Amino acid sequence: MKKARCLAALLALLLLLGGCTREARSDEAELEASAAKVLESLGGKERFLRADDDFTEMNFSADYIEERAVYLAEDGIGEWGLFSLRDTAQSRACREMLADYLENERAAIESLAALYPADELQERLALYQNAQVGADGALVWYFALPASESNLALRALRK
Amino acid sequence: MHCNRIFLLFLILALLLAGCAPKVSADARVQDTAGFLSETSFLGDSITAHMASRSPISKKQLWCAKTRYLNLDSRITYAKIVAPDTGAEETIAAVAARLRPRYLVITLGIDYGVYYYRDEQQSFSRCYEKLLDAILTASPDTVVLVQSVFPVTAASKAITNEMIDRANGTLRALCTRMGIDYLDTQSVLRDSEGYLKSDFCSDTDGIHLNEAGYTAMLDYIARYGEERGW
Repeated sequence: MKKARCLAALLALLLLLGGCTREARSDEAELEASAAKVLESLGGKERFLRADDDFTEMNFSADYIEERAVYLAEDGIGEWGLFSLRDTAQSRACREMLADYLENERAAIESLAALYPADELQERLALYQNAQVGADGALVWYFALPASESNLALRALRK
Repeated sequence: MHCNRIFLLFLILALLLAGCAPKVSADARVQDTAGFLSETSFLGDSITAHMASRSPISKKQLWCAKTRYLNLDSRITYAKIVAPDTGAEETIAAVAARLRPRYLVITLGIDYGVYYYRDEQQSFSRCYEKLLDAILTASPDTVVLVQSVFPVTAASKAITNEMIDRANGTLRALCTRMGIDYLDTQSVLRDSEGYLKSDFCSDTDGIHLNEAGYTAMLDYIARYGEERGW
């Protein structure tokens, strides 16, 4: 009897852990699916490169983030990112972190633009000045893109 | 009397010849060591880009961005430079993989890194290391030399020599850890108070070098190569 109870407890534990793993895989799959939709709406892999883990960990490190998908424009003008949260209660904290990141980028580009007369810098500056941050449940996103592209991306996300 | 005149003649002749002997100037060393410097490429921001017009180094040896700025930040491995052979914009690693320079001197940090990571030396180190790894993976036989960030004059508004010294300490430690050569060029560019020598500075921003500054820089690098038999 005792043995049976132990086995039952072990089985329950295994099922619980298996459930958690399935949930994590599901979160990752959902984020990747969302990222794929946005990427397609914006012209695909030719326009945007997936940022590596080093970049995303350096710039978007927080315990409450489950998964990250950040894309940088090939020509260096524009970027966007999607993040899935472990806990939707952290949505505000995540949005504030993204807002800080975008503000830091904006300030850095503004300093550079004062030193170097490059049209590209003005273009980049405008994107960060008008960047959007938002959330939908456990999904948080940012877009530092021209307004028309941000709208396309948001429509793709909501499909 | 006869011997005295001959002696005097020889003395005058010797003095004349000594006066005519060519002095080895910094330029001459740079020219004479053409073997090493001519095989060296230079990667960097506007400080490197200005070498095209203010130093004897050929444009084909310069790896710079079209806009001349090149941030040392988390995007450095994604940043594009103008490939000196094709004129196309490519990542640094892509250019390194194709050109495989014998020597590559890297001078980065004034753009973004020194200032924005002034209180985050770990981030500064991490970004630089990422770049070095990318270059060495693309071109393992290239001898990479990390050049110290240059000092600035008192006219520099945001960037201070204290920040620069901190960044150079980080670079020196990184190079030691990775077994990469570190060029302490800043040591020949600064005055007794630690500022960039005014005779070497070209701009009112207190950052960029003039011809004399680049001569001093190249002389230092040439001597470094000489000492190693390159």
